[in-house]
Amino acid sequence: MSLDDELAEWAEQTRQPAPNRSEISALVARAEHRGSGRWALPIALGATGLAALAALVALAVMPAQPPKDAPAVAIEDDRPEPSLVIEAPDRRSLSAGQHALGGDQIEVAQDGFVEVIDGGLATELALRTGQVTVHAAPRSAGESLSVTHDDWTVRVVGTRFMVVDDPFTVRVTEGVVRVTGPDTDTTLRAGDVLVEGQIQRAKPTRIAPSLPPLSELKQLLLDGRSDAARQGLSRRLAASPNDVPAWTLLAQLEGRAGAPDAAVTAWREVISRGNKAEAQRARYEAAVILDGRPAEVVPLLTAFLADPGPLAPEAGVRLGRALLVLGRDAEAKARLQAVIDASPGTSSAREARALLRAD
Amino acid sequence: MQALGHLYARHGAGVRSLVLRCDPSAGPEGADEVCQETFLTFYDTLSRYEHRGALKRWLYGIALKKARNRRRRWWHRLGIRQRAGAEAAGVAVHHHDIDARIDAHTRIAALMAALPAAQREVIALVHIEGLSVQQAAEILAISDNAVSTRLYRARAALGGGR
Repeated sequence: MSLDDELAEWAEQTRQPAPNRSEISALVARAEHRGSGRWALPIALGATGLAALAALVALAVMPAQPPKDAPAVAIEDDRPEPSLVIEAPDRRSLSAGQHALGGDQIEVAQDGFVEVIDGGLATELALRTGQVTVHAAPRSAGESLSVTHDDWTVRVVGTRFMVVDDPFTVRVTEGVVRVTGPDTDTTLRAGDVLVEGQIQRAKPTRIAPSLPPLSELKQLLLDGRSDAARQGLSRRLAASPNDVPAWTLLAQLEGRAGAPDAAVTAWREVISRGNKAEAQRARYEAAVILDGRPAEVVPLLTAFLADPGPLAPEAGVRLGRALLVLGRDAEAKARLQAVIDASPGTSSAREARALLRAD
Repeated sequence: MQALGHLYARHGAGVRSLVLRCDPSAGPEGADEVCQETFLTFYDTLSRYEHRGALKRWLYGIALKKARNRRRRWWHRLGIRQRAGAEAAGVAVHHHDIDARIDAHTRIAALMAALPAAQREVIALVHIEGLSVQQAAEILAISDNAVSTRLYRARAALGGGR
């Protein structure tokens, strides 16, 4: 079965039925309710006592009014597409290998794929995947060659240089030139200056190696390529130690790889560098990994519970259990009782009661 | 209100299908919830609809934003809740689409669930809905080039080559 056939099959599998009458009525009722709620609420809020009761009764019996900006007429849907003719540029593709494109030499690496979009004077090499090396030929005014990938563009610039006769000076603004003369045969690049045979080189600019995007590293992790993901994360964190999402992903990676100490170390980086929400999550994650090491769990969960969130009951139970193991019974009992009081009827409360009874 | 009902009857299936294709983990109920929110939001923001493109594409743009927001909230909640039960060292990373992958009955459904959401969206818009690259780019608010690249990668991941 071809991919197109499989996609058609998938489209069929995922096709949803049209809404039935009751679903349509329910949606319309929701829209009416949202519309009526907006203007009814100020009336109820302003009233007190009997007046409030009267207002509420009035609301209950008042017919729902449509929102102010509701259309008065039926909406015409599926307007016809505007007719537009675009002259599509010629397209062809380049797979792995060497290619001559006019005067340019294009080398596409293995597994690479480049689409050539030739729009007359402007040639675009759209890199879809992999790697491409370009040896660009000189160009006339108005001609251009660029390599694009997603929202990035790399454009070939021309060569621009200036020559002065006295003292003899060559100053290169763009590109590369070769200068030959008495006792001189040299190459000058952008920023270099040659004055009377003496060369002043431009200070080298440090170009940071490109870092892999986090989304790519996440996908590597999901694909089970932990080593590649770890390498990418190490590069990112070396370049940017405050990259909290990278620390978070590293912690998840190490946890998954069965390296609890490395995971906890990464979570601790998130605690120290992240914002409040990130730090809270990291405290809880680290505490879960450190289960069985109560001396390390206690400070984490104590800090976590200083600003309780949805996981407070579970965290309280864990903390109580850790305190019991450490023999800090009074504190343990207080924590466990707090869970029971704050979250009665939950599984955490039941667990807390069980721990209190066992003690 | 009649107009809203009419719109929903006409386009509800398409929007629901799109949401489910772009976020398999939502399931039919989640897709239905997003679909309803889409129409309600469209109705609330009707004054902003400038009639520049087909109504369906306007709806799809709203639906995809709602689906992404839902996915982000769901992932955040799942990330916390799943770890609440973890006892052993080593917390597994569960991408919500892994569940969808497990539930898939066919190779293509499993592969689609495994794709990054951004690639699923372009496949759904271009290959299933039949939109052009430019139209898909407009809905997703990205460049044409980005759509083409995502399409290429998605097809490669699905084993379809170019």
